[in-house]
Amino acid sequence: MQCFSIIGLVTMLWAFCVYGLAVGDGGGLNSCIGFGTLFLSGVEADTLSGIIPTSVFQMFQLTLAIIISALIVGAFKEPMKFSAMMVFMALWLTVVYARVAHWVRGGGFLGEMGVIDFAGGTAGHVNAGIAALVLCGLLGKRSGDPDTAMAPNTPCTYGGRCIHAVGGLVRIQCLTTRATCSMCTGWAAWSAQS
Amino acid sequence: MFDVHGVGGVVGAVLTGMFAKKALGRSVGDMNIGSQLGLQVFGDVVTLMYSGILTFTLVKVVDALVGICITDDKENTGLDIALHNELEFSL
Repeated sequence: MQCFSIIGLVTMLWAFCVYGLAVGDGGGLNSCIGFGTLFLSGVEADTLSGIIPTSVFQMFQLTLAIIISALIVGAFKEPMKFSAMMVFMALWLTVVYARVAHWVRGGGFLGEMGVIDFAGGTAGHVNAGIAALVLCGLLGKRSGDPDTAMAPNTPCTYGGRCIHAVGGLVRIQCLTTRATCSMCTGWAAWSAQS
Repeated sequence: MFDVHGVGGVVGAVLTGMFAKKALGRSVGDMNIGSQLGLQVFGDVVTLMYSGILTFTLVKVVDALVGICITDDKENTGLDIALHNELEFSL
């Protein structure tokens, strides 16, 4: 329920402003934040980002934004209210994710300094990982953990994990070269088990 | 969450500074591994601090706006039932 709601929420916000904040041109403030692109303006049928159509590029970036927001759910899925989760996700995506993504790959200061963002590591995993740790610390354990708390549904968990592993594999292969594919395969196989 | 994505992300982002070198298989360029590692660590530290502090602030803001924690009895009932009145699966 939480992850599916996040898909809708992030897609709406992405089209509204987050795409512009993440990869837009901020003019004089470009090293800090991008802006000026609302409702995907400038994404036409014939515009290109590098060698790929901008419409494909923004869709690909959207999948990253969705998966990174949904990652954090793992830290608070039980103790947090649904309404609070939706508000938090909207704020986090706009204030934290869009900003850091712009820093590392939208022309912001980290990218300009030469920091290499490999397959979304800095903007994605480091970012979501620390957010999850902060949330864990603030929200505390699930009620009844570890004695009486209900276990997650194992087949559902494994099914979702497999989808994530294969999806992540495809996504990362889009970003990398053949030399690292074997590494990704190993990672996916490992993460499917854990 | 933090062990897989946080620690894995930091280690991966730092090691990118080493393995992005052309001689080691990736064709980003022929940069100096030492200075690139420094840059990657800097990028990580900036991200960790910014995201950590902002997340903390946002949680406090959301807590003040709508209240963030669910009550224990609702949590024990299960969120699907308590919040959405749906049963997705039974154990």
